[in-house]
Amino acid sequence: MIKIDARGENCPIPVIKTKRVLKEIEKDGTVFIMVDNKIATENLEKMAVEYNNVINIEKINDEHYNVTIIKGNGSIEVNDKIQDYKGNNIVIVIQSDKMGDGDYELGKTLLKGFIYSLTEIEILPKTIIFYNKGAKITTENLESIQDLEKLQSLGTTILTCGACLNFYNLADKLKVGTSTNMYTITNILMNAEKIIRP
Amino acid sequence: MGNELAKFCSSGGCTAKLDPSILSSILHKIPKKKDDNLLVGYESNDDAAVYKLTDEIALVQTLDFFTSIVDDPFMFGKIAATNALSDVYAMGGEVKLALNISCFSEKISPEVLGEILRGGALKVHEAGGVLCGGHTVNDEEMKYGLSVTGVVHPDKILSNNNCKIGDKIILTKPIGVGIITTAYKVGEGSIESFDIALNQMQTLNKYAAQIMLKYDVHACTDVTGFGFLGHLDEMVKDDYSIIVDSKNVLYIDKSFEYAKEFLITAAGQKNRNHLKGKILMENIDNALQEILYDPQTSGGLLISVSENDSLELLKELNTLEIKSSIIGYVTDRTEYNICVK
Repeated sequence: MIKIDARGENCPIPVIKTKRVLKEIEKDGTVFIMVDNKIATENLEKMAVEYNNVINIEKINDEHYNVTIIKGNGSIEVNDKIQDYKGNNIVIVIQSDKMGDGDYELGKTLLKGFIYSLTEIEILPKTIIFYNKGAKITTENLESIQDLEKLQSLGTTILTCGACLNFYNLADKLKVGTSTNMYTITNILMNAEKIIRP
Repeated sequence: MGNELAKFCSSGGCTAKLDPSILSSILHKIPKKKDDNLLVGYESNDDAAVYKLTDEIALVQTLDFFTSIVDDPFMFGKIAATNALSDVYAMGGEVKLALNISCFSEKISPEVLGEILRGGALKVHEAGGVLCGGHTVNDEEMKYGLSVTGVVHPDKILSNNNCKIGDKIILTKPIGVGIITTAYKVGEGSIESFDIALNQMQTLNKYAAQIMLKYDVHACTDVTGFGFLGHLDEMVKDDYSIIVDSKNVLYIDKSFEYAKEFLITAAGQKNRNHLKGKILMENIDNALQEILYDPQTSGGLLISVSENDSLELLKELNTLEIKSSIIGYVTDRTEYNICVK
């Protein structure tokens, strides 16, 4: 059973998350969603009916509804393993300490703005990988480090290329996330749903 | 840093409107004063208030503001102003004067507010009016709109529910804007469809209104937060019903696909709930139903025109960039307010 806590999220986010999870389930499975308003349960119900899934809605109180959607012969056993839904597989690669070609100072400001914006948009990237001069961000850029810590607390994995940290003599200066190797980086990129290189 | 709008706004545009059933439950309790000069006021859910000054001039007064659905403050200003100005056109009036209403956070750089107001001013001037002041309140969540004053001849007011049986109903902008902007905001919508929506939202209803006034039009309203069906329902009275020919209702291309993917709003569902029992859907695809309930921001006009004038009016409206279509007609009263075929 996959659990989605969509409380605090406006439509269509609860529906989108549920829809993505249902699509990932090949044949049989159960999704358990928590929402904080009745309208969300109504929109989920419309979707369940459209996809011929069984839906059960339980009101806990005015701000808490539990919705169970069963695909195929999905199980609703109490001892069924519950996995928390971790979000999309969007990977962001930061390959330098600036964004775009052109003026260097402008580039640094742009990258700072980009990382800050990531903390404010609704979609959370699954992983952010820093390599080559990008290693300077997770070691020396205090403002961005703060933003990255916030993303990390929300579930994003922050990785910096170990070889790059060594090259720039920053190996013991990593302030957020962990260091990694090219094999892991390649694996993550190959499995990504979307790769963004700002 | 300019991109601070969307983060402060939990639900934007006309989805920010209060649930219609909450509104209706309290509005009837507000004390009313009798004044014979109030030509359009509390009794109907009309687009603006109209007050007679002389035999030739009546004042049209309206107010609209909301939170942003776009990141660009200049665009937000233009859209909010276009939306607010629309009500004057929907009454058959002409825009004269506007005042800004805004809520703005002191944590955001003032240039952002400057850009919003610049957008608003541009649209007021395009409408032929004067923007002459306003009021800004400090608020975490950014909001903007206008209080608009217009004029209309007392005998030529276009209320929203004065249709005549046999009239055709014309819609002057495709719908689906709410779905398109929602899809784009969550990263699942195309930029092309979003640009179409933006263009529509910042196009004044002035041009369609100027054309409409040359023809035998009986009623008019504009399509905003309550969606196509919500505003069409406001045109219905006890002595007639409206039939909608769903295949003629124009919508922005991708909105059907996005509706099928459930990229829909809470406001759309609230609109559907509010209209329960009033609408008969005859085998209408669920995705199309979502589009019909979808809240619009700064939508087009719904015009009830005599059958004789309908084709000519449509032809002239279609010389404009944004396309119109005849979406239905007014018929003898049936069990439902609106029947969608």
